[in-house]
Amino acid sequence: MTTAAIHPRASSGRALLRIASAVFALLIFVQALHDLGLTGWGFANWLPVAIAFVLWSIVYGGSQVMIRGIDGQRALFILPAVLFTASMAVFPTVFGLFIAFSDWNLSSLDGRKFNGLDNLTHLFSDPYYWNAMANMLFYVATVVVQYTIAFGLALLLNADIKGRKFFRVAFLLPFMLSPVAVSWMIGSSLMDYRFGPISKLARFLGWDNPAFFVSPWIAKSAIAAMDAWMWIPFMMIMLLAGLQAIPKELSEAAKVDGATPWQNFWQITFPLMLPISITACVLRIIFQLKLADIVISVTGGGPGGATDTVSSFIFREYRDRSNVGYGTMAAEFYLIVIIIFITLLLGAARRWTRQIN
Amino acid sequence: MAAPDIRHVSSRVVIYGLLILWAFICLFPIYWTFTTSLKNAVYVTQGRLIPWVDFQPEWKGLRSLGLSPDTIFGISTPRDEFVKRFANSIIATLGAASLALIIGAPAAYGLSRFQYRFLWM
Repeated sequence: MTTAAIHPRASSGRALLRIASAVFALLIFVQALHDLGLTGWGFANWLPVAIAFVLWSIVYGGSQVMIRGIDGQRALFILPAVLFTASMAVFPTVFGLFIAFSDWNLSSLDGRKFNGLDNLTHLFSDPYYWNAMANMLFYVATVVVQYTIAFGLALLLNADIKGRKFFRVAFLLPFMLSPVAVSWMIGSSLMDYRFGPISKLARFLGWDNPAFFVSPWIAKSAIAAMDAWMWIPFMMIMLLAGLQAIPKELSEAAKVDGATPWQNFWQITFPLMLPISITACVLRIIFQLKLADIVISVTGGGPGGATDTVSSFIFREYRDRSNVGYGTMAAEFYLIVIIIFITLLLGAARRWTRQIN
Repeated sequence: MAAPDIRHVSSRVVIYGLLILWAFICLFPIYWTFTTSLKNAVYVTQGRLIPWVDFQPEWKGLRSLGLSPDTIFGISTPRDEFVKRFANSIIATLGAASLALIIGAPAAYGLSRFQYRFLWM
């Protein structure tokens, strides 16, 4: 393509983008003034602005093709995802900061008030929040146990067995159930103090007083067990896929060379499974950090906050106390903690794999 | 010949034992939920386990939803409410799945096929 051919289209593309952006910005400006009560004219709500954003996105995509030709066409593949993430994840998170730095209780008559760093200082001295944070350490640590069990089950399913399809479906069933249903089934029914079969089994095994949600550590472990029951299949299926991708010749060759099954596992299978193990664990930890549904529906964070997670703490802040400002600050702070933690974790995992391989 | 045979048999026993144990752990809560839907309140609070032996199963849970054989053709407000919520679940699931597919599939193709530069990265 010559520059003469590219120029007129590119400049008209730029002009189009400029006009569209100007109209869109003007619309936001007018609506913001209306919303603040400074001008009398504007829309009843922000919906027209949202529609304008969609139209602007379309114009933006088109103008990219006009300005940058084939590169613009390539950008069209990821543009929907980028704009969707920007508008549905990044924008609300940034906008949430406005709420986070304000005193806003839905049940008070005053409405939203900016209160600077009050929420943040309150957060740092809130024992319930840090208690929930400490519980999260325990819940994240249980991922290791879940990973061990899941790896064992994947090895079992990968062995030469009859009825593999049946076992695979049976092992996957817990993952397909809704967490709220699981909470009721196991937490409130199977573990019920009077009639639950698990309590009966515990009595039969010699535990006189099988109350699962009364003493802190037993309650925490019971929640962790329920969570493991539900999430082990997820890790198991990932690890099983990894095991099936390993060529059989490798372990057979090791066997011929006289390796015991134990050596075979630690020297061949486990190192080869390391990348998928790390992926499974990191994904699982991200999910675990969001653990809330079981805790909310079984214990509500009790006894005395022993099973509380950060997510269920935030949930109670919103639902029971309508404390939107403080709850949002807790959520935003937790997001930053998660981002730092996952970044460090990924860095450590990368270093560790490089060291081993 | 005898020694490796015993070893083989015992490893088989361990493998199938573990498989059956875990299958039981996975399936028992589901069995318990299903049988509980067929129980009277009395049978629930006594923790009866096996239908026809421990307790007399009835269409208790399904009847209260209006889905048992004797109520399914009648008029039932709970069933209407249940179906409404079920439809909501389906709409939410299909909507989320298709949106993820429509937005995610081109992005995955683009990211794996081309190199992109975004700001400084």
